[in-house]
Amino acid sequence: MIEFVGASRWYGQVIGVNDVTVTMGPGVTALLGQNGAGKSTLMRLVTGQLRPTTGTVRVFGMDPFANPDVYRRLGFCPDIDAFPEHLDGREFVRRMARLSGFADPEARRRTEEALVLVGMADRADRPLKGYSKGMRQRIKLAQAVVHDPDLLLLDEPLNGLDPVGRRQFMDVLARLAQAGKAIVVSSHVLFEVEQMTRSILLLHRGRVLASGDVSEVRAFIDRHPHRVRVETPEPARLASHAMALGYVLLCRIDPSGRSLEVETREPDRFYGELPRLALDEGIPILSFESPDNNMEAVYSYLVGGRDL
Amino acid sequence: MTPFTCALSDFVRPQRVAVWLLVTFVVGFIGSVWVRLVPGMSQPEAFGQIVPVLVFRVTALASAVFATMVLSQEVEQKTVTYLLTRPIARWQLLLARMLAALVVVVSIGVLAEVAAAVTVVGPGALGSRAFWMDLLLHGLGAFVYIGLFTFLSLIIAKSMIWSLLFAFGWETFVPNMPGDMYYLSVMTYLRSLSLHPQPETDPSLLTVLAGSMSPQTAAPAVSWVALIGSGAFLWALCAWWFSRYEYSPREDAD
Repeated sequence: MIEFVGASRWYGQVIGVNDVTVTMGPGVTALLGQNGAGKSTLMRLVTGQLRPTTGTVRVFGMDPFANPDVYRRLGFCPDIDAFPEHLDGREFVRRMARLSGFADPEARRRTEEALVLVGMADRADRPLKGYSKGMRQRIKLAQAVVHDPDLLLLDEPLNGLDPVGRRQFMDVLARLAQAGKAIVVSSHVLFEVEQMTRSILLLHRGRVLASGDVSEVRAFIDRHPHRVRVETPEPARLASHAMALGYVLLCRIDPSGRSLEVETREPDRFYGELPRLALDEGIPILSFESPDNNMEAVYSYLVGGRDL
Repeated sequence: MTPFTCALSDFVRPQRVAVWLLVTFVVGFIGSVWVRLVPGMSQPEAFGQIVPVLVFRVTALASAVFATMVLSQEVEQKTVTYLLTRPIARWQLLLARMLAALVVVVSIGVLAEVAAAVTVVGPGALGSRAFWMDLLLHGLGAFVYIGLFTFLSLIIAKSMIWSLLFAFGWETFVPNMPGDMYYLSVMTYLRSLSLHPQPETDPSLLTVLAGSMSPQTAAPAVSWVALIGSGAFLWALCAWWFSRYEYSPREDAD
């Protein structure tokens, strides 16, 4: 659906994205990186607002720059908080529908559907300049989906939303993903992205640092052993048995004496062994989790913890 | 058609309409004062003088303002992103918006012309050939000015100041310059095609503002070709340029 081949984009002496080769397909893909990592540049390349300085970008197999055939199938929710403020939300979305080529009755019907989807149907008649941040984000999403695109690009859609708004926004995205849309969502808030998808594209200083499922990415980081935290009333006994396993590198007992943290390069084998230890050795296991199996850890490892 | 109607409804918002109605009122007021302050001048002569000094300037001024709204205002307000990611060819989008600006500017020019004609000569002026030729020239002038000022907005930031300098500086002084420089002014061709009697040349402020210190005017055929040709060229250039180059808001670039 989206293909970058050796694509770089410079702004004079400043690099936006650097030699990016990546493909993005159906489902939700998170574009992850700090401010300035190149997320918005990547979005603008995909939406054909910018051309790559070198390399190629293809969307649906076509050059996206100023290409109406691409825009028919693509919806874009930009990160900018800018609107024609004199319009009301309904009129703005209806205009976007009309500009997408729909006759007025069809544009009105689609506008209502989009407003219902984002939860703004009963509040869209007020001027945009009086909207809260959350309402503006919803209207941006409505204009992006009003023409029922196959591919939806959302640039920092959760910025400025309160926790309830974020939850509701993510619910909308989940519904769109269930409806079969391909969604690319950029964010620098790792925790939120993690709740939306496991598929990530990690950018750092214009380069793609990693891509794929967050756990697959984690598996490649073999210089950083996986950690497994086991909650048990007998951490010392569990540690002695765990250290007997050849692939366990280190055991660390929590000062509270209620849990044990194990470091291993083969977490799957350890997870397989844990039930046997519990049953055969009679060690109570209250819970276990992997602190590494989240995006924060992956991001931290990949950038070396220097820039977080 | 949708880009045209959307742009048109933006351009004729009530506040803007009120401002331009005020401008045409001022033109009418100045016209009524003018004809009383210049002794020995007939009403048609006064009308002929006020058209290049004031009425054609309104068209130039309105062109500078509305040409800025065609695109550069959208870029500065960052709302251009919504327009650029819709399934419309860029050249169609731009030409539709320029056409909306043309409709508005011509309407303002016509109102200013009517205000000047009625206050200087009276309602009878509305039936004169000079009046109707002026209306046509408002259309042609707006066609060229909008092409020029839109192109300026495509290639430089903060283009309105340059457009206003052109409308009031270049268009005032270049027609008065010796040699062939006057060929580089739109006002020269408008004045050449106008059917009003040419005023006597003298170094007064009015003749400077009217661009008629220099006795030269372009031949009518040259004037028609220059206005239509340069306008068409500039509109085509704008469409080509906008289709080829990037117009992404700069401030939020990574």
